[in-house]
Amino acid sequence: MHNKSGFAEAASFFVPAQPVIVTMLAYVARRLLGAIPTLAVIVTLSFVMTRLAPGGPFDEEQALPPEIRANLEAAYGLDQPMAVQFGRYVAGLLRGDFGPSYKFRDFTVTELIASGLPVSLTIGAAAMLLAITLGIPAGIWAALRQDRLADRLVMSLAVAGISVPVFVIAPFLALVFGIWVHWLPVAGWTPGRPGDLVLPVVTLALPVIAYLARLTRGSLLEVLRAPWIRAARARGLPPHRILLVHALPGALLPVVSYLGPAVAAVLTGSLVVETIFGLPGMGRHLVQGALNRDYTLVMGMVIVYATLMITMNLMADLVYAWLDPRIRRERRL
Amino acid sequence: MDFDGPRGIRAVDHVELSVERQSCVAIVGESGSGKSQLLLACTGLLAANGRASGSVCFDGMELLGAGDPAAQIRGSGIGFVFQDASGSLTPHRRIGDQLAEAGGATMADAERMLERVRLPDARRHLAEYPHELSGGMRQRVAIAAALMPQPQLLFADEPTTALDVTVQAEIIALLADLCRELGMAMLLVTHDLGVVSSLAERIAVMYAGRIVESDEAARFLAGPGHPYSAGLLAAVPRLDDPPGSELRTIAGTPPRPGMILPGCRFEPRCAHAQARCRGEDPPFVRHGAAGVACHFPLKQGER
Amino acid sequence: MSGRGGLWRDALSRLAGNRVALVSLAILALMVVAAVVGPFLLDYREDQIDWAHMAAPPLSAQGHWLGTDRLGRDLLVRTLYGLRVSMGIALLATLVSLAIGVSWGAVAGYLRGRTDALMMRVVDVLYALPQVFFVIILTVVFGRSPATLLVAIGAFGWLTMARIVRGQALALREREFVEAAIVGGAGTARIVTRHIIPNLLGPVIVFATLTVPQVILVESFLSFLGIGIQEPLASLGNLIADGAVEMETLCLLLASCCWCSASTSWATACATPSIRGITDGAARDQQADGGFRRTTRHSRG
Repeated sequence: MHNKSGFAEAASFFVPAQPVIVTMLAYVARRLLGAIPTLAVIVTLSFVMTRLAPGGPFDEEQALPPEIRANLEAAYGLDQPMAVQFGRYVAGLLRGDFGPSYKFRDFTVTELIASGLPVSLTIGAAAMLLAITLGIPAGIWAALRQDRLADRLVMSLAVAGISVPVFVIAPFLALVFGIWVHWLPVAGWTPGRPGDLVLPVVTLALPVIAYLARLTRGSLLEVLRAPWIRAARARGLPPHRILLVHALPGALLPVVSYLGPAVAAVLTGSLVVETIFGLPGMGRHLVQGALNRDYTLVMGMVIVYATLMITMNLMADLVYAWLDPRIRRERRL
Repeated sequence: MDFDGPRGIRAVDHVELSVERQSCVAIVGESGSGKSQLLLACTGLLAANGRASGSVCFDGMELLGAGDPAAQIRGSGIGFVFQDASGSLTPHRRIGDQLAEAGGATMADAERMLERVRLPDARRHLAEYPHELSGGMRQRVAIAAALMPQPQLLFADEPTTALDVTVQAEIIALLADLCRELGMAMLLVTHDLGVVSSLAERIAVMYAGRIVESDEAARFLAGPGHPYSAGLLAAVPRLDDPPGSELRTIAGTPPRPGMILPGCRFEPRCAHAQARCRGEDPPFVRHGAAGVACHFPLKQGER
Repeated sequence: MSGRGGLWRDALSRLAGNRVALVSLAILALMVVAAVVGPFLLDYREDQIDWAHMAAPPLSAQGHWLGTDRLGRDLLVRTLYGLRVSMGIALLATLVSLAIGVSWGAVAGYLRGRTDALMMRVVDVLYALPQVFFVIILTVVFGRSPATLLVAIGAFGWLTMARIVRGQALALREREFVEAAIVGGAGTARIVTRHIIPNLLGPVIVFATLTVPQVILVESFLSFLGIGIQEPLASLGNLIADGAVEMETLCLLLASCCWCSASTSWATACATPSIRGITDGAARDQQADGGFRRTTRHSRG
């Protein structure tokens, strides 16, 4: 543990001591066990709600003769008692089979999900990465120039970014950059043309950037008021070292715990973004499924989204636990 | 030294002080007298809404001015020990790492410094976090951290106030020894006269943001010139006081920062106050090595 | 409830000093008035089709201040109606959330013990569900009507309210007047309704005002996607969606894209920052105070 550069020091902060790993595994196990009931509830609730619907999924078709109707229902297993249907559905889930789509007769829900998932994940991940690389430094910058022009500017933009919803920003951005200026394409996605993704990713990322900037700034300002920061200055340590090693690790903790909700926001926002920019992702399937009243599709999609959110929340919690000095220090969780 | 706030508080006013090499000067005063602010201002560590004016000269170098000139001497020129030891150390970093942060220091240096501040089992503590130590031990570590860059002058802001009485004496003795061993000067701020008597060569008394008296320690303790100082000394309980006797206090309370009185600030509480005291603020007048800010300083006979 | 008047006056005076909050409040008041009164002052109804002027730009046609959409309906009136619908749903859904949340939280906090644990468990489980998606499921199942929307959104909005109320109720339960009521033989229901609930209304109302913009957002979000309010009813969300569609099919008419999106987006965007600005303003003043107090504490010798 000799002298290192500030970055190496900060990185070494994230390497836990040996005993911490054991407690971390225990924590992971506990949280995983906690996540399962939530998933179970989600699956059950989705199922119950869709089955409780007045009328069936075939009501909207042109009037079907009763026999054909009965055959259809039998084919889809809708004539079985609820419990049996539920059991079959869960069994299917565990196999990765979400059932057939009622509207797109040629496709199973699994296929539809599989076709859309990569696109959604790509833009989601890209948006989060963009948000983190832009939002956190912006917040740090604003905190270091507190109450000066830079700070007020960043914070005003942040307020705008947080207040204005995705479905307002998206059309505006499409309008300005796609139609007025013709810089970027606004609809569709041809694989291999990353330019298509720029607008959707930026639109998705903006609210998160704004929130991260505000959060980081507030948190950093708070940490910089701590007495040990003043003591570090009194010891003659250079400002960048104090920021990186003494201030940031504590300041970033609230940011990490926000990452879970941030992912949820990105996933929800992707519904709008995929619709408006015509991207063939899961979100668009979900919206169309909802408009078509395609029960299995909607159910399947919701379960996938919920699983994604729970997983991301879990990971964010784990990262937080790893970094939390209380846990690292006391080796107890 | 001015502080901007809703009312613009002037916390410290008209301070003249000097610390010789390798000497120990103590500043004594009550809470709110501005003594901590004085130390912070000299090293450029004031809070964001503070403004210091005047001149602070360290080894020929001016420390007050635009652009934080004091940054160069923090640590290596002037070390700082704070009152709150647990607030001096970053909670999420190990002690060894924090000590070795000063330029060019190694773990071995850190261990040696911990031994120097008489922390037993120094090597084990290097790997520990601050909260795993007791208060007294933390203050020793804080002192070690302040001394790592080998400063010429040590500011100690009430280093023992937050500690147990038994530990206080040890820490004070430690500071005295360290100053001697390292050839370091020290500016000690305290409200405890007992601490001062064993350590200081010169004593300065602050009241309501001003230095009201400054003198060699021995002469001061034998008989101070300012009525406030006399009151402070008299207030110290003595072992030979008859049991059951009342504690001697100075009547009244010090003025709040921001309440600027036209005349002498101690006048409302002074037993010797006269008409001139209310109207005219006494200047700090030097007589040789001693100085006092009083229109009617106590004469030899009255002390 | 003594001393409450002092707290309110303090909050109000702090609010009055904060310019951002005042401006936001003014804008919000303006919009509410416009939404309620506006349509009566204008010539056209929201579903009235003006065959002579389809897709007209602003100020181009008789009495159409913001122009018309591609079906010939006056945009200004539709925007104001959209405001009405969105705000109306938001208020009603918030009331639903308030009713459920306050009752749930007050009962849980008052009864404590296992009942409380159970009730809060339910809240925790429901809290983990992604709100928007489940509202979507509900609309798929029960049809896309304003009533469904209201119930669906309200069904998720009460959770945080319940938590807050429960915390307050737990604290209130220890107060002397509750003990006095118990000793006096009052029944649980009476205590909860007469003593506990009135005393926690303060923070609850503040929180309720915070939920209104959230509900507007969720409802607009869904209406934008077509899952919420349906044509011919106007909601801010589906108005924006209309505007977005205009961009793609009539992309040659740059002006038309501009006014359609602009008018409705502006309305939505204004509604939410206004409400946020007010609560932010009041909160930030409190923060600034605390910060300053802290710095002065540092500053004291």
